[in-house]
Amino acid sequence: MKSLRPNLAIVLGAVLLLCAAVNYLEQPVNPGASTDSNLATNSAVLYCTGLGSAKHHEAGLITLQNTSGEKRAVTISVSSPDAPIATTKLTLNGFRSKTFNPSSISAGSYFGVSVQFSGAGGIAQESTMNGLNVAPCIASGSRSWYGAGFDTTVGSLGAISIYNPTGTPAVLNIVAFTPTGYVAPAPFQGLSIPGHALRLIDLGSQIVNRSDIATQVTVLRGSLVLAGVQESGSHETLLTQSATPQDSVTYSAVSTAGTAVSVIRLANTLKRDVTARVVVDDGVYGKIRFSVPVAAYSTAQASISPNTAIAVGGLVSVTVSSKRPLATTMVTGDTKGLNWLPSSIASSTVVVTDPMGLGYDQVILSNTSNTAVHVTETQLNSGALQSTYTIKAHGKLLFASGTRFTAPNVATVFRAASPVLVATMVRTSTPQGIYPVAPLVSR
Amino acid sequence: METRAPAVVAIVVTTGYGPGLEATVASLTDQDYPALSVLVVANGQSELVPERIAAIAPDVYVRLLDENRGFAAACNEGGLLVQGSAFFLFCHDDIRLDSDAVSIMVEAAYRTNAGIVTPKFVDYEDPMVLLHVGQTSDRFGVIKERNEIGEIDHGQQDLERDVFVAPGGAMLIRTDLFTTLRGFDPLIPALGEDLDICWRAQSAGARILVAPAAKVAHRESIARGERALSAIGVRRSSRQSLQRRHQLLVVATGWGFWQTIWILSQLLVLDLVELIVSGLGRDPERIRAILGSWRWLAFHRRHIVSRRKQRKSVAALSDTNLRRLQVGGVNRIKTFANTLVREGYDAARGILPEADEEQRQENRVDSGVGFGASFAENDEFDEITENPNLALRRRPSKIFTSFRSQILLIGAVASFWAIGTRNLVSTHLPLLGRLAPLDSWWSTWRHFFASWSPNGVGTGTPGMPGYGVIAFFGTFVFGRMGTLPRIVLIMAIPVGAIGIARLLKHKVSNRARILASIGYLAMPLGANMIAQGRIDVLVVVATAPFIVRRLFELLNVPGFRTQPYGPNVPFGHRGWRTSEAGQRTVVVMLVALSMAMAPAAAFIPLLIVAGVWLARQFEPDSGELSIQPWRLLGSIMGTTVWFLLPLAADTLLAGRRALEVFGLRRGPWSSPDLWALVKGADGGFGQSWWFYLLPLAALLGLVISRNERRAVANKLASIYALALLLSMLVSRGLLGPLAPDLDVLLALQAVLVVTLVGLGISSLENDITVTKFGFTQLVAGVLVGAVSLTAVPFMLDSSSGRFDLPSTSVAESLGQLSSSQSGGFRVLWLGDPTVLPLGGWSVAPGVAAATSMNGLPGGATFFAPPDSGTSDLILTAVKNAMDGNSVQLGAALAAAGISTVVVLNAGAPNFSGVQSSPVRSAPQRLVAALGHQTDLSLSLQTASEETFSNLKFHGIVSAQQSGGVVSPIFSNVTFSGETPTNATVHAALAPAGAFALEVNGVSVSREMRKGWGATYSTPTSTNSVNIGTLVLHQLPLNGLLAGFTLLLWLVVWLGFGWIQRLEWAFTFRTSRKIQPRRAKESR
Repeated sequence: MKSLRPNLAIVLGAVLLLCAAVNYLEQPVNPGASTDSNLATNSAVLYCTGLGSAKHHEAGLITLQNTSGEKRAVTISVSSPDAPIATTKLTLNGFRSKTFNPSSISAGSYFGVSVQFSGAGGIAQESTMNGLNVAPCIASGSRSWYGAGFDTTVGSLGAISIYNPTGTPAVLNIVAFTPTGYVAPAPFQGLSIPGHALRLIDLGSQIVNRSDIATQVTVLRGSLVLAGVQESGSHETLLTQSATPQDSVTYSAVSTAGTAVSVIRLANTLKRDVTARVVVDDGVYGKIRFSVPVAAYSTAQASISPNTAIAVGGLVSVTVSSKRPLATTMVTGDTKGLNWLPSSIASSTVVVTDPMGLGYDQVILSNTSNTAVHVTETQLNSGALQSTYTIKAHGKLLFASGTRFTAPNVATVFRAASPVLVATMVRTSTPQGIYPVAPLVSR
Repeated sequence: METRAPAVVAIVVTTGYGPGLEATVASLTDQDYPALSVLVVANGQSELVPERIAAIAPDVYVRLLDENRGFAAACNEGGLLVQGSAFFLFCHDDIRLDSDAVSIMVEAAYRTNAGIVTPKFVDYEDPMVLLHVGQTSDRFGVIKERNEIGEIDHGQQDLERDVFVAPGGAMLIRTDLFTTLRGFDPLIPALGEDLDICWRAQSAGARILVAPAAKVAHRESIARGERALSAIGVRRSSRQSLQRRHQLLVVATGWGFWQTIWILSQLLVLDLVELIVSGLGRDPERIRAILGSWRWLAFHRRHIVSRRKQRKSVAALSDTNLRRLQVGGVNRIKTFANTLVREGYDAARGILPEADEEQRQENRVDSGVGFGASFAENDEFDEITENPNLALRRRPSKIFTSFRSQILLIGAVASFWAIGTRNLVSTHLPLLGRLAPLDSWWSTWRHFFASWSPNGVGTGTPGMPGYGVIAFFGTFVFGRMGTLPRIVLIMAIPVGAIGIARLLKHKVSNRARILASIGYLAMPLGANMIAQGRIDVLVVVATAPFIVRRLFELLNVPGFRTQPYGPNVPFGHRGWRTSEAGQRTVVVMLVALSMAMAPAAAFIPLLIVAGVWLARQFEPDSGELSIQPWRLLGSIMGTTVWFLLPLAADTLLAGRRALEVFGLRRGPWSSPDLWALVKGADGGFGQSWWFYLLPLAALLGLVISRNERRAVANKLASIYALALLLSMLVSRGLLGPLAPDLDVLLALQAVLVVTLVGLGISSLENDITVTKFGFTQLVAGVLVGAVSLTAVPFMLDSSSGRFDLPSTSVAESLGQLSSSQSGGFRVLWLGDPTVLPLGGWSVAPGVAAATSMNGLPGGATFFAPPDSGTSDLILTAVKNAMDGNSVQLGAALAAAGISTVVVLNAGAPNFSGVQSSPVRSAPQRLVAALGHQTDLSLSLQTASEETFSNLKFHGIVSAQQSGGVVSPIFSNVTFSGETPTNATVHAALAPAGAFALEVNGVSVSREMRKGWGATYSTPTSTNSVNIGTLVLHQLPLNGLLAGFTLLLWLVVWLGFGWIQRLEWAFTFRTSRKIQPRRAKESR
């Protein structure tokens, strides 16, 4: 009988090829932390820090929003450096929002707040009582954090509010970058934060009377929720999002109004000098370009307003790019004080809400991708689909309505199929655009 | 014609129909010695002898004896008939003397004053082959030849010299010496009479000489089995029995008193050891021979006294001087060991399959030629290949083909293994892999029979059969449970290597078997499993070669079923084991044993059957192909289920987790990739390129194999390909919950690789010559080089003395983490299933979960049942946290009494230069999720592990008085203690329905909590102290199931012939004597 061994060899070879195909096509990756929203969530938590009490500062406020149609039980735990942990519970109906003042249950001076929802769809934002400084509460602690734009000049308080949301005692180091170089004060090294505790680190205690200070926080153990707190005069602003160094950052609504101050504060955390290239686009007169050198381990700033090269009035788009990453923060304000706006992070879902009913000058929705994207807009209090938009590649969608997003208990959700959306809201202010606001990111 | 030569009388003893009688007598009459007379003593059955002698030598005397009283008695009878001769020449009737043999022997006797002279004996058919050139003996009377078996006569032995024994066949003895010694001892009719008379002659001071110039061809018809022993009194005795008892008689009467006592004592010990070995090897014939020899000696005690008196009267040599004439050592042990190594146990114990002899001779011819012949060690090789006597030459001179070189190689490998495992003998074993400290043998039996086990939050599922296996062997070592893992760590791989040698027996040469076995030792899997403490996999490493061999026999793979199965005999009778049903049962028991420790072993028969089936689709085997492989597989697996009934029952109950019985999903990111799978490397060993050599050699073996070897190689390759594909899919997590333990699959692959290597070497020896010179010659050289180089990493591996098994583990460093002594606590272990030190369940790929109670894992959590049952609440909570759906994992785990969560990235900490352990990281998602839990506190963090304390922990058993805090109660050992009154007691023990709380001996009302836990409301009491106890009330169904399984094993074991053997124990009757198997077969 004729041998069929070659056929067997072919079959076995095919099996081996299949093995090789599986080996090379299925490259395993150790999965990172889950960021997907999941309806099966039985508990989710958001952390807010940097809030102050009305006794000593501009009072902090938390706005809770239930973006789901289901009723949620909310457990709020408030930590303070000078008061015991206080806990309260409340219920939030579907598509509804509530405000919560930590001072109502805690006698502390500063607060770290843990907001725990009994399911998915809960969001929270923290703000000062006057509603002019708004920052989203964040979902998890981090192991590193950058902040730029602190001032410790006379009359100012530049501080980092550090909240440990877990039971794990945390250890961290803080180093600072100033226009003259690198500072690592000994008291800021090896700092220990007990579980569920809050500490406020006053940068001015070690870096006295300096402007334009950037910080780098490295968490050696545990994970922490951090926020920058800047008080200037009677005004307080918060920076909850890390100003993690990036190669390119865009601020889509920067005020160039008459008496407004708009400055981009840059920090170079590397050992080599970096030059930042700034492009200002006012949409009318074309693009203005200039460069800002940032020395190694130093900070610098690029003034957008006042700037004789830039026309006064209106909102401009500013892009900062560099060959090596820089930590950046947009600082706006007037003579009363400063406001911070961190760089924007693209997301698939952004929530626009105005619980204090202060109104917006503009809401700008940007597409950061190279392709056009379809965006749906939903009013959460009704749950019904409102509108669908298409934003072209690297295009913008401008909502100029002053009242569209300002009704109490109303939240507007913009959704895209992929995380390409960046939204910037500008509070109604005088001069215009000195209170830019970061939108919420839904869980 | 008148002669002055001394008279010599040749006494030829013939028995029955001596086929060489005429030739013997003719050669005697043709002698050139002038004074030779011939006397033929016909020893029974002698009717035709006078006519036969008269036809060729009319002047030869014939003496007819009425009955056959043996050679010795016949010689004595002949001696009495003769007067005046100077020498007797006692001859067998199957010899042929050269014409000058007698002259030379007489001349030598006169020249050297020897009392006994023996010639050089050569083979009857082939005078080139030496049989005897004199013999010697050790102090126990065991004969040792002076030449090798089958040695070619080149004149190398042609030097006259003193010897201790003149072998029977043709023995020239001075008449006066014969008279002094009173002739042969008639109690030794055959097989030993030469030793006896020579011993006594030596003792009397006579010299015994071999005169090689005198050549005698000897047919050795009795030794070769051509003629049966027919003397009176020995017909029912085997040759072995006769040899033993005659040797014993000689020893008992051949020494002085004290020397006799001492040597008999030594012999007694040796015989006892041999008795035990024979018992283990099921060698009843040898057992009977040993016992019979001592019984025979005792029976003839008066004769012994008589012989001792006679010896004393003639003894001229002291015992010391007599010893100097003998060889040292113990010949019997040497012979046994040599034969065992060279030809296997059956040959060592004297069983040589007659039917295979011809084939064996052919094989020897084959094994001596071929490409491998170019590795000849001496110049004789080419000459020998042309010599037709090669068939009788048993040691062709090639690399590792001589017995000595093979013994040296085995010895060297054994030494390396002993060195490589020296520190496993007594040093500390870490809590790693499956090295958790075992409970006592009794407790382990209890785990097997238990109605409740502490896995997870507690379960009432049946005890795993692995506990039964451990308990059984623990009982065998008298409860020294600590020795069991050491035995497995040290012996599993050598046992597997022996299995490889058995697998290849009769298929390849001894050299190929040895090299393949060494290859099995050198495969990185074994060393990795030792380093990771995976004794479950090591058991499979030991059994896999045996399973492959047995299955190949059942599947009738060419060359494996060398003889048909025995006839169908009733279950329980002798011979049932060798029947097909019995052989199937042996496979079932092997598979069941392996599955009890590592259930993934179920895939071994599946892959073997599938591979054989696949290969046969393309190249059908010739001959009987009535085997239906899939039916066979079904039969085996179906029967195995009964042998593992508790495991099978629990698997059926496990629902969606049923497939996890074969193994838990590993993280694809830490699983071996294709190349590691090819090398068989799943750990620190096997990362270098060296380890490609054996798979490469296996591939080459597949390429160059021919004939029957090719059919086998095809099947091995098919199985290997299927196993590799399955391993690859499992490694990448593409089979979902079906994730058989990769290391078990690698064990099968290792067997296949080294078997292919063995076949390749055999092909090298046999098949290369039939092909034209070309690539095959090239790959043959590569193959030899690859196998040789494999030894290098193996030698390097042995340097640590424990194959890099760490001396400490991560788990041990957590020994002080117990957070509570009251109420009990559980530790939740999370991580890759291969780094967890206990059995668990799968949560997600790369994450298995398991709990230990009140501290580190121990013998009670060695195995986890497939059915997670109520413990799903833990698994679900962890999964929720991983997916970001929960930040309150601590609260969920507190309900299960979990105080600590340990995430393992490695089984042992890595200290550079000190110890290393493979890092198999837990998913970053898990670590991140645990870090975000609001009620867990990271208490310890290293590269190998992260430990979290549960801030919500309140004990396994806790109590809460109205409005108060929840606090743990009860002892963590007995779950009893002081109980608060008017309180709510929570017990995290499942199944809750099986437990009851008794306070002061009275049961308390119970409510179910969250569907699994129990809540008890304690009553108000006036007692100052109220003692509560949690009591388990469970029907002993698990015990019945385990008992049935144990009984099944026992009955089947008895079925291997023991029911018949032990019949007397059941019937109180002595069973009729059963004929030895061979006698039955010969009939």
